[in-house]
Amino acid sequence: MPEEGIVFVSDVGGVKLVRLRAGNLTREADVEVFGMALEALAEEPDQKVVLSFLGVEHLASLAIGRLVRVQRLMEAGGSEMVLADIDPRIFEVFALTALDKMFHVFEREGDALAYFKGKAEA
Amino acid sequence: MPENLPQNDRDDGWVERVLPTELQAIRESEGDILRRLDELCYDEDQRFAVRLAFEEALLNAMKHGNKMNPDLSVSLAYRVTDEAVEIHITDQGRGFNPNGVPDPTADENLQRPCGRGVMLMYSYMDEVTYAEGGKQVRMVKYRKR
Repeated sequence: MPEEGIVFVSDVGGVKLVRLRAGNLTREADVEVFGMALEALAEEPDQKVVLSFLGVEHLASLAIGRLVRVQRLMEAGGSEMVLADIDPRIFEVFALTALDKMFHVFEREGDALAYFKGKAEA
Repeated sequence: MPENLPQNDRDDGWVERVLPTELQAIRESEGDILRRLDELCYDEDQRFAVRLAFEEALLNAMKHGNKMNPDLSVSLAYRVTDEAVEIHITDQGRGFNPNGVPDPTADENLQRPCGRGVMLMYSYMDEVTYAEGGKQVRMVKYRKR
């Protein structure tokens, strides 16, 4: 059974901040919940999204594939999704799979929010 | 689902299991191997590496090998010693050519949602070899001192 409520979305000054309450993104059911929540966000055009990986300690290629799919949808809708708070071991997985080429990655979610704020003010 | 699946803990340290083609079986067998790593005080980086490669290999065996057919099973054998972790996983599918998996980091493949699991196995384990026409994968992670 998937964990209920593993994806939490809040609005911070017009930016969608997505936090996860899942230490592991390895189970297919959890990855499905994760993907569907993000894909629902991608359905709205011109979104600014910060996806925080705070607390995520493990993930499978299944989750990476879903993230790639979400990113494609976001870009197609004119949205921008950036990543933040990635555990160093998870970041290594992202780097090995060249995901760091696809995403703008910030050390902390505050930095990511400031990035969007800066863009809006520019 | 196959019934009466054999399990065997051999005197030479090898643990043998026959798993049903069910994703839940990955979680259960992963718990066993992680407990053995903890007992031998493998560090967190090695634990992370073995867990990731183990999950990817079993997922590949069930999804791509056995095509999630519940009538098929996956054979698992592993041994955790002070020196190394060795894992053998064999599915009952049609095999594949591991050299034919496109490089997921190539620019033209970056947008593809699949194909990263095998690459991660090679990255995180010290040895990865395929046998039986791609139906069996053997992986070794040597202990870092």
